[in-house]
Amino acid sequence: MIKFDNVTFNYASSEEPAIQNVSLQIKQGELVVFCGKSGSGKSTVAKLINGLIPKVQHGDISGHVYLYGRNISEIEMYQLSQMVGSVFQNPKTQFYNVDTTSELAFNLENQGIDKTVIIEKIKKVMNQFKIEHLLDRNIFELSGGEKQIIACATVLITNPDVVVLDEPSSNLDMYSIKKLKEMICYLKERGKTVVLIEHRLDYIMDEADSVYYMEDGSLHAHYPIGSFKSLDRDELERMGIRYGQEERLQHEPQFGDHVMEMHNFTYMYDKFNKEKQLDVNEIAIPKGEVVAIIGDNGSGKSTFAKCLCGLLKDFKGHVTYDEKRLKQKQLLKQSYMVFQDVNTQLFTESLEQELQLLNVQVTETQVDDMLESMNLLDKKHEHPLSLSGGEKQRMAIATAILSGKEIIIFDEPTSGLDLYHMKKVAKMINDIHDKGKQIFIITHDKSLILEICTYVLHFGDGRLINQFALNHQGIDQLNHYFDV
Amino acid sequence: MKTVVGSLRDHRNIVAKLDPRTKIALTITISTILISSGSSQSILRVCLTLFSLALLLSIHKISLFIKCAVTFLVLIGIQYWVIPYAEGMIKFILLAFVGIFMNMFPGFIVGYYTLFSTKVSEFIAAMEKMKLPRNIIIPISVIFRFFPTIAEEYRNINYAMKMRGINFSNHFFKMIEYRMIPLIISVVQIGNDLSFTAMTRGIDSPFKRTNVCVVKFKLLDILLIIIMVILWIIYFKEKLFND
Amino acid sequence: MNKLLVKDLITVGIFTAIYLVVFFVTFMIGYIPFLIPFLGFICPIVCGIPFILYVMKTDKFGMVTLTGTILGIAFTVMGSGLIMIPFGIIFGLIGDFIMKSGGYKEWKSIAWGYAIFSFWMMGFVVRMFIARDQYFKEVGQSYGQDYVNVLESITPLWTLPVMFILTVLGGLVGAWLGKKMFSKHFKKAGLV
Repeated sequence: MIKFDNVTFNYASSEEPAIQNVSLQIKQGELVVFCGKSGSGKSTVAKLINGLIPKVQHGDISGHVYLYGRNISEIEMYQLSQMVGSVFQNPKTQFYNVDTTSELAFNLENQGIDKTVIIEKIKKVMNQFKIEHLLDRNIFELSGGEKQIIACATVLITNPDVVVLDEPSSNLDMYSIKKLKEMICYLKERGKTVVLIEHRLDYIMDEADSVYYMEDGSLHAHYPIGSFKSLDRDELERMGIRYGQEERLQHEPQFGDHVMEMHNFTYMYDKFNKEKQLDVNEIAIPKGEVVAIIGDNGSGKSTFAKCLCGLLKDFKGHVTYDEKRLKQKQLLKQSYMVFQDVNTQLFTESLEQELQLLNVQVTETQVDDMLESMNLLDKKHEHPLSLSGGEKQRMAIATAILSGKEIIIFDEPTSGLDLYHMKKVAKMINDIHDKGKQIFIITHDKSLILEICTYVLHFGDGRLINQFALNHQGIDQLNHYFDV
Repeated sequence: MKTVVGSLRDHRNIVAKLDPRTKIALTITISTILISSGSSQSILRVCLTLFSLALLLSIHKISLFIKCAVTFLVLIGIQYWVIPYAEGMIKFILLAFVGIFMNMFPGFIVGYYTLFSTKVSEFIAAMEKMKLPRNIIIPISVIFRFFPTIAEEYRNINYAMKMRGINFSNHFFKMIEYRMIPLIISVVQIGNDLSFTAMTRGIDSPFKRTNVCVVKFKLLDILLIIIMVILWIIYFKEKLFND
Repeated sequence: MNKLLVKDLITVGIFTAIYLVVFFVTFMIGYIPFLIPFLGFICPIVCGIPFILYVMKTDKFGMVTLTGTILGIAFTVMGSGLIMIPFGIIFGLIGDFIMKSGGYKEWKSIAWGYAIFSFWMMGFVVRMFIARDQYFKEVGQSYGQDYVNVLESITPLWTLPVMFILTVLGGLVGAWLGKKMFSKHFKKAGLV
């Protein structure tokens, strides 16, 4: 049982409290969901439960957190690690080991448990969820979804009584979300207490017992699941939650006559392995649309995108665009990709310099106008990496726009974003499209696709499985893919 | 695909599954012996170089094997057909270039093989068996953990730089800044998060750690160790004899 | 040293990894035989960038020593000889002591601590001077007498102290560069 008694906390680096006067009680065996916009304090709550705050992440705390009646500050971190299991949001930073088997065994090894016992437990869990194929793999070669599955499996193997999951479904494809749901249900069946922090709720709504809504660091509301489900759609939208959004087509696509063709899009990362990551001969799509690229992880989507940008040196295919034949070098000049990780896309010491670091001349007026439209003019001289995640993303998009390139590709621009921010990003992308650019979006985010995309390319196993316009028949095909 | 009773799957071949201590000994032996003794044409040298290339095959890195083999052939070519015709300073530079390369390269290859074919847990188990202190074991295991991360972030930064059109021709000195700064910031932030993760998985537990990996010397290890001991004896004898 | 927490050990690991990679890449690029003596000057400069950040993040004794020790182990394994280990440990320790004397915050002690720490690199070349005859005999066997003649002529004994001075200078420049990068980038990005 978890109890928060008037807890207020602010991180060492900031004066604003991350959460204020939060009091709550979670019963044993409950599955509770915490939701709210980014920055509302949800992750802070998670870290208070697993002890990271205040033991590892420093700051000022007042009030108390109790776990099974004991004050968490009196329990050592390693003891907490046996009682509370954690799954975090970023697959990149969740793994202390390089191979999956070691990671699965890690927690129990630390506890000094006998080797044979650990192996038995690993086998049992991997068998149960039919994920033996993920054993003994290099974590760096797994997809984001597979990584999260391993992270969850690690927690299951440790068998704690409380499990905290912080936005586990961001970045996940359909297969992985299914596994995630299976594992959460398994935990619930065994009477574990599950604390789930999420923006996208559809996959788990049938299992949840209650929902806590946080806003600006305070606990605004606590809904038993029945009441939550009967909230109306506008209320949910105001709260920034992605649930029950009507899957409406925003507009019927109308295509012009122009076509963009891709020829000989095949690529192998390892010449001697004979395995093609991408194997598509010809694609023809309507030109000038906002194209969604969907597919399970490992289906060749990002290889396709990299070929389209001319990033892969020995790519031999070409694109026909505007009656021009574009091969790798020209593609590099004509395309721009905004990657998922913003930290590796910003290079300079001020926003102003960042926007001038392009291969075209940018005037100061253009810089100012762009910053203004992104709501960042007041931070013109700030360091790009001191911005928040969302602001960094806007900077990355700003560089894409100012580059003046024709073909712009976005890699998962809305993973981890709540409804409000997703719509903002969607609008930004749409604005770029209105200027006549060709847009591609690699995404798992169905709401985003419905919001602005007009055409869909569906990849699988390196091949193009399907391509369709997003009209009414198209929606059926889309739903078929996203059906959890 | 049933797992073998009592152990989990491991599909490396027998050479890749050598005890990590053997692999480290191999790396030290090959690199030290090659760097500091013998004549260029000696059989020993050739054998050690071929052995290191063979190790690449044992971890299925075929394209790398081919690239390295070609590099060696080119260097040998320079050694036999270019250097004898060179004079003075140029000859010195070429000799240095080729010589240092041929001496250091096999060592690097064996080092690469060691890093690539060994799990971090095995290293940790080996270090624990060698009774190294925790203050050394944890940082070293973190280093192994971070090499692939650094490589991955570096690749991402490169892609982003290509998109922006930053390259050597227009931003020469700043290139170092543009490459290193985001790399360091990114890696350090990943490291911070990683500390958190490790703490939630009980890394600071005071109990004695167990290890799922078994690390012990098998037949092939003992064989290689005997060969290495012989090599070292020859090495020292040569040094002493030539005094 | 026993007061180092796991968190600190992970930090040691991260920054030693970064230092190793930066050092290695710089080493390989300056590989042109001409530049080898100058590597003692160039490498500390470039490596100063991550190292100063490292020091800013730590204030416990033992971390720099561990870094030096691990660097020594790493290069011994890579074949530069057993001498790298004592060089790594000793100069790691001395650097650590110097920085500690300024509480890991006072700029002068950080700069000098880093400069002395950088002496660990001398382990690569020290054999050319200390066991000089034997070293040249060995080199002669693999590279030929002509090579040895040229090598000997460009590295008379007085180049050793020159290399030492270059390393110290490189260290000081590297510390300055690291400090500049720290205030220009790392501090603003919220890394400390």
